[in-house]
Amino acid sequence: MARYATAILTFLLFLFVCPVGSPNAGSVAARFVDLDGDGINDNLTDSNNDGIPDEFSGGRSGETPFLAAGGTQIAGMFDAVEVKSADLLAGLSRQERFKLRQSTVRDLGTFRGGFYAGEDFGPGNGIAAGASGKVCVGGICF
Amino acid sequence: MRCIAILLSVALLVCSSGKATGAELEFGLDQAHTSNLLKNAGEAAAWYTNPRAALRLYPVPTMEISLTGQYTFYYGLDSGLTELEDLSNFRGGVAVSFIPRQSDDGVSVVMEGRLDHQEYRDAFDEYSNSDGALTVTAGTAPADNLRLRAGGSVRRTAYGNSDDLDRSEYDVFGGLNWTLPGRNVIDGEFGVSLTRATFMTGLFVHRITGDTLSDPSVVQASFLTPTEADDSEALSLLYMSKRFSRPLGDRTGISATVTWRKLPQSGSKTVQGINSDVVSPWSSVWEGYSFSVNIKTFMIPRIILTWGAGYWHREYLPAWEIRAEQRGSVMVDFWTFVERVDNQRRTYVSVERPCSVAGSILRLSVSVDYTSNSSNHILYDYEDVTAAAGVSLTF
Repeated sequence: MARYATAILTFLLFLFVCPVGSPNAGSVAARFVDLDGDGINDNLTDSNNDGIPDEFSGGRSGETPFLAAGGTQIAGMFDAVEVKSADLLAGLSRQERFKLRQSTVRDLGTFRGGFYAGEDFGPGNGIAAGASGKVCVGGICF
Repeated sequence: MRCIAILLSVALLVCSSGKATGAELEFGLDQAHTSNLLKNAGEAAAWYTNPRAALRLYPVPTMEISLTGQYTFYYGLDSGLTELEDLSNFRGGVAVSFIPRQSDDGVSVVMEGRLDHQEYRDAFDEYSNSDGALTVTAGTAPADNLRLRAGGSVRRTAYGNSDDLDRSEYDVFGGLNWTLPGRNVIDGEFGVSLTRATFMTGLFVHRITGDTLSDPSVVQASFLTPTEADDSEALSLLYMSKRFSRPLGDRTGISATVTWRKLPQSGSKTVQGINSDVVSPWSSVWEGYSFSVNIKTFMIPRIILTWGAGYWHREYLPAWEIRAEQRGSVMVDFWTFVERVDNQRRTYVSVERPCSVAGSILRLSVSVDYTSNSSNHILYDYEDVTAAAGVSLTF
């Protein structure tokens, strides 16, 4: 156990100090947010919701246009989202407005423990067995 | 299958009026092969197919209503194991997610309620169940780089054909997400869960007697047999989980997660059939610890490549299992007591290719998952390789 702990701590220390690459985009990229734990900045724009940020798929670099009270754009998803401006929301469908709201709370509503919960390990492609990081047989995962 | 047909009909009807109605429809199909369906030393290989559909409605911008249905169909088992094809099951449900408008003090609230039903074929019909859950979580950001969260969940699972398996679960959890200099993110979480269920308690001696003088093939033996508790008892679970994540270069992210689980005061609580019936609800109840690493990269254009590896140490609840054994000329079913401790290693790689086609998202995915499990119980020394390919269309 001590051997494992030493290896893990060494690994984490290496990760902590190793280079992270160039800033992703503009000033907002400096506010790095990773609520879903994939190591990728959640503030990057994914305008078509395909799971690949625009700047990684050859599109425009930028951040998700989070909106503050009164409709002014804010710096990141940690700020309060109070979408009130009719002008800014005019082009968004109810679905898009919900997903924008949902993206700011992606760390809420799920938890990693409990009798039923898994550790979110494994292929995440919706496959019945092996999805959600658990070994599943006949729909029962453990 | 009838449920899927109804769901698809409704979905097509709703979505035919376009996105402006606030609807999203998703179809998916996965095809996979596992070298070890039951995850034990028997190594029964099988194929399975998983068609699924989901309809998500957005009546208001703060609410999502989703209807889901999927059927998992197992086939291709060796002769003699065809009964296992009855693990095939339908799972369908409805869920409502509500994210009310955030208040001026920056508190976010997410509420989710859902109802699901899972139906197995005849041989495993005992495990057909209905499941309902309500989860409420609140989060707030006291600083630019810190978010706190706390929540609770209530869940009830009812087995229509086996009341003894019914369970109620209550969870309380909290956590923080803290961004440190250098884009290092620490996410810590802790929680307490309480489940009420029927446990096995007490023992009585079951005696097989015979005239060993006139019939030497008959043996005299005594077996301990558990009895079921009359009243539901509670079992608690404590857990802590730490996750560390950060970018590696421009297009890659890495995370490492450590989780610890403890069943305090599990005492003499024992359950029935955790090992012998792989679909037992007790299969997911264990204490121990785990460590896993995941890497996600966009280095290959238009491809999401994910790799992960993990280690789990699991100590399961003591279980009573029915085993058949030859005693003289008689085959006797008797109860045996099993205390199972596993050490498991897993690794997987997944490749996903999303395509945007006329406003719809088509996803193609391939994954391979390898598991090596060692146990104090020889039945659970096993390996498994599961390979899967899937496609989904969201519009």
